[in-house]
Amino acid sequence: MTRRPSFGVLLLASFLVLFVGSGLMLAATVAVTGVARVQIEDRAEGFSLDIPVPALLIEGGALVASFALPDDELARLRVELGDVEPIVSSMLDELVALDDVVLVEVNDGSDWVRVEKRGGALVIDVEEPDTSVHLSVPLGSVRRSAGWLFG
Amino acid sequence: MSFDIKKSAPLMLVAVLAIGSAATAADLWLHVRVEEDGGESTVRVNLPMSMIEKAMPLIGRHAGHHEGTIVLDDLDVELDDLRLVWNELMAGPDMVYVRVDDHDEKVRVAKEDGFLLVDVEERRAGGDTVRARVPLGLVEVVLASPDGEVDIQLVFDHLRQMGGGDLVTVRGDDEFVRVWVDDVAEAE
Repeated sequence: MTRRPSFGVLLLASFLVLFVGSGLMLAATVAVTGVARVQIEDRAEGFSLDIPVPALLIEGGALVASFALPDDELARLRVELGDVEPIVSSMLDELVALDDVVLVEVNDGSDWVRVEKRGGALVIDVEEPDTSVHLSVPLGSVRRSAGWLFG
Repeated sequence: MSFDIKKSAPLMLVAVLAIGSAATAADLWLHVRVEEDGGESTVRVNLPMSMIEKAMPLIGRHAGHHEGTIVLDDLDVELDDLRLVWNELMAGPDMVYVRVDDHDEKVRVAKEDGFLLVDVEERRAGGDTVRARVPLGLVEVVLASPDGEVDIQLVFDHLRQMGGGDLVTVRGDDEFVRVWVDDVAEAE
């Protein structure tokens, strides 16, 4: 004869499944879609900022915006950017297909800027004597976000 | 000769877009290297031709030209005069057309194997050396453009036919500029 688990055990197990499962799902989604990151360090002002944003949130934001924006505002946006969007999208497709590569690097002795494709993201680094800026955006998310807004 | 990276940035962009616009093959890359102050200041650009081609419609649009075109203006010579000289050159055989060899500089302009070669070498210590190797077909496309409005796609097609190679090299006292096309993504 088997003993039935108590209600408390069932409840605990359910919570565990819920939290661990959703945590794993979130981790898997972030791993697939990537993380956008903005890092700013202002050494003169002693200020620094590091904001990692799961790319899923960017896509979600674009999706929400496509529904939340007033129709006339969205229509105006689509008219203004509508003919540019296919061009930018096809350029993004090209970028996504590239292997990792430094696209542009400028160094004038005191300032340094580098734009590269790295690990599926467009990465922009700027170094000035007092300031460092690092921006990383997963290209797939940018592409899909543009699709939500203009598709 | 003095070269200022910041002032030259728009020029480099036009060079990238105009020259780079000329090839479509996905495996071709346009490279630009600029070094000055003994390598302290540098510009490195590596762009796939296929991606530049995708951006073509944006060129000219905001300048009031036709899409995918750039306009030759601000030239020191009349375009018609340039065309006349060019037609003479194209009709002539491969040979050296200009040779100047004086105490200041050596200049050589030649037509050779489908390329216009321009070599300028200043004789003074630390003088500049300019070596340009430009495909004849490319120049022909540019000069044939009506009203000087160059269809970048045609330029692209010629670069694609070339399959790569050096387009312009300028070596000066403390600066170096090279623009070339090849099938390597990130060249050193």
